[in-house]
Amino acid sequence: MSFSKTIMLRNYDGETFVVDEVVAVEPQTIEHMIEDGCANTSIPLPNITSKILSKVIEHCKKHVETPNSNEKDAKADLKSFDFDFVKADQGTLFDLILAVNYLNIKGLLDLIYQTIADMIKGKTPEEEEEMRRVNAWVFSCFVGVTCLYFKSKKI
Amino acid sequence: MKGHDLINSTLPDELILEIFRNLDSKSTRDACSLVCRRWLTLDRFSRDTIRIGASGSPDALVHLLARRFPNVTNVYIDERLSVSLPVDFGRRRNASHSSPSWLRLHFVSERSEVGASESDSYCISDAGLTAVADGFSKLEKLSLIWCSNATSAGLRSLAEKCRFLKSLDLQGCYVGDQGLVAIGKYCKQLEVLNLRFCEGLTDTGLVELALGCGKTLKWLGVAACAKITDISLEAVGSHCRSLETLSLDSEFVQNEGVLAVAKGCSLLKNLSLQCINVTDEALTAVGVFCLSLESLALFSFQRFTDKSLCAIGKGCKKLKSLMLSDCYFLSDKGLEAVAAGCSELAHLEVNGCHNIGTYGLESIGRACMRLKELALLYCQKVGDEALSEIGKGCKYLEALHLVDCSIIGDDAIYSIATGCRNLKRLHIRRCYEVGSMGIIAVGNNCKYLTDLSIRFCDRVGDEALVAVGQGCPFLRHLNVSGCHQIGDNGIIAIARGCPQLSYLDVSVLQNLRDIALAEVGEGCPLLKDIVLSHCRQITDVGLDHLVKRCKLLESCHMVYCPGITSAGVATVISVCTNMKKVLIEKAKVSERTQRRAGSVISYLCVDL
Repeated sequence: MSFSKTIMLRNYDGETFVVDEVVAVEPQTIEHMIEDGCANTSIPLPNITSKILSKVIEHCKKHVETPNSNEKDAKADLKSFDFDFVKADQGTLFDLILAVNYLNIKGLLDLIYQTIADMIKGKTPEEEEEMRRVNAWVFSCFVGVTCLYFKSKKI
Repeated sequence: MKGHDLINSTLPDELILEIFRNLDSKSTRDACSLVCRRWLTLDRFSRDTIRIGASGSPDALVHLLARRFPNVTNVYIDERLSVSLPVDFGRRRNASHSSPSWLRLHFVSERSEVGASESDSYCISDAGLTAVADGFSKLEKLSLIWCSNATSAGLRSLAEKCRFLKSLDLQGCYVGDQGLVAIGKYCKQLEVLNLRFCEGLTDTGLVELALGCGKTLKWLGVAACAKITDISLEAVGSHCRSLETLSLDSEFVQNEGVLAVAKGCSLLKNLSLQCINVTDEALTAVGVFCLSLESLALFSFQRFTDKSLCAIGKGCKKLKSLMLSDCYFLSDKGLEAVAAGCSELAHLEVNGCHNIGTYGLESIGRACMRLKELALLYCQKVGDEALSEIGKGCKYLEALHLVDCSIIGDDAIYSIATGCRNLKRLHIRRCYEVGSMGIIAVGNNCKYLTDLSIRFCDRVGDEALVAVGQGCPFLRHLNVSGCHQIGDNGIIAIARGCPQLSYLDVSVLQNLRDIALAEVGEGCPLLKDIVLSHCRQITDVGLDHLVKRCKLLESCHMVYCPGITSAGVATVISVCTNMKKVLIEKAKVSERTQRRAGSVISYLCVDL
């Protein structure tokens, strides 16, 4: 009878998450902790909330469960999972990026970078500012080659 | 969420930089730099590439750019392109400043170099190159295209200061040998050298460069440099042992040169030859010595026979890509030898080699299981049986291009469709025997199809597109220009079945009406490019429906459409905020439209 080892993760809210080792090692940070022998009781993740940690675990589980084959259907399924995964509100997305950066999960990190980049692409500076919400700023004009946006200026 | 700054309060610099790294277009990065001071700083220090066109006082421009972007590693100066600059350098822009004419340069004269003449000041000078060297000390890639005022002195001062230079691309520059000598002396990490139309360079320069930094050179391209001969290539063969890619386009190179490279550069992976004086002797040597060869491209190779292809087939077992263009003496026998020997072949292009026919291609189908891309252009002797074998043997085929293959018909396309289920891109042009049956098979079998182009195949009708609409949901690119039998039903089926469509060309379709365009507007919100030229029945109504729904539209070609008027054009301009290019007759552009968006409108050259 085989039984897979489980790892306990304790987070910021004091909650404990029990995950299979094979899922827990997706984040490189945790993998290194396990290798270094720090995982005997539970691994502390004090800067990650329950909401975010459960999302991250969900992502790791899905990617571990899906067989790593070149099957088109499996790949398409994973792709649509990822697509839905990042359909979160901005607040969640930014908390997620900090957590994933700390945990060092490369695939998920790239996905989130790309998602945020896609939100920025194709927008005018005013629209990006909407995204960022800063009040007034003063910007002095630099080199012409690099400043191609002339639409409606705030200066 | 509104009023609350999330990004700047939550994310540290490194993460914002990572996000910026995913922004691939310059305009987006420019926009980011205008958002706030923090983003300006982050963008400034992370920008690694700048491109400079022909500009007034380029030397001053370089100074300014170097001050703003200190970490740039790639500089591309292309003086064929004129760059638009704001009228006043350094002054604040007025809000009332209307859109200037971007087509020509304006520059305030007090900024130009003292003593420089009007035309000279548009081209970067040696002083400018020195400024590049001073300002961008981490320079790794430099490209100088048609910089007519740059000389050896400039290149020399650059070489002295930019010791980390990895890639140098000189096209149409009158730089002399001393420039290359300096590069060889100081830039010991050079990996890529591309020389094109450099009339001032002779063997001396290239030989010295090979002596100086040949050890690290991996990529070498020489084209249209009349004074570079076999002598240079012999030096390359002796000193550039790490060379992986060689691209030669020259009538002054003979067998000795290529032989020397073949013998000396055993790590050669990619070879491209357009040298009419090179014969079998040289290429046979490649087959004997360059056992790591992965890609081979032969152009206009008039003296080359099957003997050398046999040698290639025998020796270059790792060959993945083969391109034969206008090689008249090559026949099925040679191709068969390649098929037998190069089982890794993934990419094959045969263009205008009139002695290669069905049999040669059949042997490819039987032996090259890993074939991913096949292109047959002007192959009048290749028949259906060839593609039948390809369909049977090449299960991983992803792309097929057929141009002017007059005897290929439905049976061939049917075999490909049923055999190559992973087909992603299919381009057929002027293959008059291809009809609906073949394309229906594609629709029924190739569900991963993303690009479909059936141009001037007038036997293909609506039923073919109906099948594609039903079976290919990932279709992004569709071109059915000149397929006269296609009408509304076909395009409507595509509109309903292919929501990811981003490029559509329905030009020359006489039977297409507004209803089809309206359906495309409904069904394809991701559409970016559309070509409607010569569609006689399309009117402003259809165009309206289309542009109001397809918000991402970037280009629209609609010449020779009598039903489209200036009102339609005005709508396109006002509704499509992302529009980058509109091709239309001049008479259909009202003054108001011209004022609003003169920069994106291109006019048809012939007055109608």
